[in-house]
Amino acid sequence: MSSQINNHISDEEIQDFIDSNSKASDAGVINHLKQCMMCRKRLEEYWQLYELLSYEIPLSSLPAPTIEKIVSITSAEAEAFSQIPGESYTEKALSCSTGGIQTIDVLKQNTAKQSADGAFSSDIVLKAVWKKAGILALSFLAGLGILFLPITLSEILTSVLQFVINFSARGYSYVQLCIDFIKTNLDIRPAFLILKQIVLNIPLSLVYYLISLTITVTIISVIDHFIHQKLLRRR
Amino acid sequence: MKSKCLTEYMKPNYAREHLLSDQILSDNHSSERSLVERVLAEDNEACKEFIVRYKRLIGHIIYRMVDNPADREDLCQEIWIKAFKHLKHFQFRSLLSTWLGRITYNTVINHLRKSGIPLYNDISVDFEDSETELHYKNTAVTSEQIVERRELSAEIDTAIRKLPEQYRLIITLFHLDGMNYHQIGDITGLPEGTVKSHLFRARKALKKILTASLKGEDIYQ
Repeated sequence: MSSQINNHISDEEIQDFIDSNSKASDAGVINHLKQCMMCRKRLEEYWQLYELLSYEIPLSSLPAPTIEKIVSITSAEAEAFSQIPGESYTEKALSCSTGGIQTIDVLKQNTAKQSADGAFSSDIVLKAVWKKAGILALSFLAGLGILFLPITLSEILTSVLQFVINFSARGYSYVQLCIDFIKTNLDIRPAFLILKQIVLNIPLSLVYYLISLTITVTIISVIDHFIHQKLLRRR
Repeated sequence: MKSKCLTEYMKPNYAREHLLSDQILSDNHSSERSLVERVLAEDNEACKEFIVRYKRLIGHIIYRMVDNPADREDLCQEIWIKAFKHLKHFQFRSLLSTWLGRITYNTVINHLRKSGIPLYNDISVDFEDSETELHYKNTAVTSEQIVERRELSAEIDTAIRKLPEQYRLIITLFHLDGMNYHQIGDITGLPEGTVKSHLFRARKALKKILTASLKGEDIYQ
């Protein structure tokens, strides 16, 4: 019995005993504690420590979120993301069609010049383009029609320039949006996220634009080529 | 020594108490699921409920691991924004409290790393048995002891701040948030055995620190 008293229980065993984790050895621990005053004192001390550790930290000391601010920032962020170009399909489609329509406008003028004898007005040409575009689009690979390009380089550059101006105008409006967010929420982080999204979207938008430009130019130039051949045959 | 039955010293079994039965776990999950769904549907009331329910847990972790009050406030906002932003990705594979705890822990750890604070530094006190006893008064809550309790709370807070951040966190999650070793392991990424040994070492060190700091102070005699 005296040897049992001399083999004091460890701090870990005392903690385990209080935590009630060591059921198997509880009997031994209890037996020892009954006989050993020193270990009982240590048990008492640990028990008091446990009591102290369970004291709640005053709520006023804890960092607290401003609920309204968090809710407003998160909903404003969600709204902002829905407006960023490239985030929705509609935006992507709009981006493509902008480039396409500008190209068609350039080609329309070009084709109208070519059919100067009046046999084909520009409207007729366009009508023909739209009619056949669906079928032709399937058979043309991007870039193939570049070989038949009837338009000048300056015309393409004009179109690209228009796209850049358009994109810059939009970019400016998103920068304005960021400034508004900073002013409203006094938090710069959502604005950074928006700017990051815009920067990431620039290459993507350019790719969309180039694809739409190439496909439109291909389709229209081939049609233009056929129309031109037809006119020549008539003459 | 008070004449107290030995079994009275046994705390309610944290480890087993928190091994929730399937029924309780499933109730918790369904209540969490419904709250998360409402939050994702942008129900403002649900957002507030979500914050109120978990702000204490997040507050505890930040409070214990970060010393600078200004940093605490910034981190708190950052963590809540992160939580709302990523809530749609929550898969209900763990308790929401564990998921939030993990986000908080990772954000705080990143902050501490950026600030160059070592995370696993050894405790500077030795673990030799102290010859001095801890003499606390009975800490049962009575109206006249509220002030004293506040003082004790500040004392323990100062003592906990002398521990490494990891130990502070584990002690807080276990004693204040009632988490078991498994949940704490989920949050910190440590194995259960390591959590347990950190917890034991932290308490031992804390006892030593408190013994030294309370030695000779009359208010605890």
